[in-house]
Amino acid sequence: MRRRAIECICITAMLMAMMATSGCMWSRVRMNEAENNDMVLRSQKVQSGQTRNADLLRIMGTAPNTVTPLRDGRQLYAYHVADSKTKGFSLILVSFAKTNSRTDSVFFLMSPNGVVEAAYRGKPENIPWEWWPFDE
Amino acid sequence: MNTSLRHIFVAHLAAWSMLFIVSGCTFHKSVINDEVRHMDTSFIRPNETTAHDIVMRLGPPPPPPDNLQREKVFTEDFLRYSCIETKTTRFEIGYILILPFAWSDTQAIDEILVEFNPDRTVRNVVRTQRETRWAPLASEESRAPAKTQRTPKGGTR
Repeated sequence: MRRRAIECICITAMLMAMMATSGCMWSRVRMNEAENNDMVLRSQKVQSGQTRNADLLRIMGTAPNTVTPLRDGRQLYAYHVADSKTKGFSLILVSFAKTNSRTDSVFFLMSPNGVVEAAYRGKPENIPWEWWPFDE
Repeated sequence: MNTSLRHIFVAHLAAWSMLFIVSGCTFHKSVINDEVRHMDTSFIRPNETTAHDIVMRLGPPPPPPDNLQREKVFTEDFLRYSCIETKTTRFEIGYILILPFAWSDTQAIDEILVEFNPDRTVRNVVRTQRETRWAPLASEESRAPAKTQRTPKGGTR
């Protein structure tokens, strides 16, 4: 009887420990983004044909991440942002995790005299939190 | 302590030790820029569609994530859109010292490369799709060969 009781206590303790040490985890990493789509929202204030170089820096808050000179004297300013979501599920002996990441750019085509000719931006979408890694 | 109690104690001690020593295996998948897989490039017409049309429709090409690939995604001569997937299998032994039993496979599972003529119209479009595998559970031989579609067929003019 006493042996059975000790066994029960041990097994219960093991199960409780397994439950306590398994669980979920979440992690999020953002790059160059104060708030969701902040860079894209800022870029919508830029007016093609009117906004000048200095105004662009003020509106966007920073210098571009890359500047690519084009053959005809124009320049392409690129601002980059990134968002990454990781979710995991752990069962002590086996763990599953998935990371969904998205990188985005906003491009400004600058004329040789420093005026924004055109702005190009993607359509930012929320990336999902997922933990199952075997999906297609 | 009698013999049977000592056996129970040793059995449970062994079970606990195993739980702490073998902490298990981890399957992790990472997908970067999944939206590239759903991009429709059928509107692109060689020698007609311009870089401006493509960026307005598809958006600027997503920048490469740090440490994965350093090559450019745009110049005056091309645009590149990539979806990158990594599958990692990790066998973890020990809590204090984790031994490095990790296998990882990273591929650009969908990559669109648009090349331009000097007048900034499209010269050709190459779309390549690849598969990642769960190493070491799936062998290199089990990976399907990369599929490449080129528009116009046969290459550049």
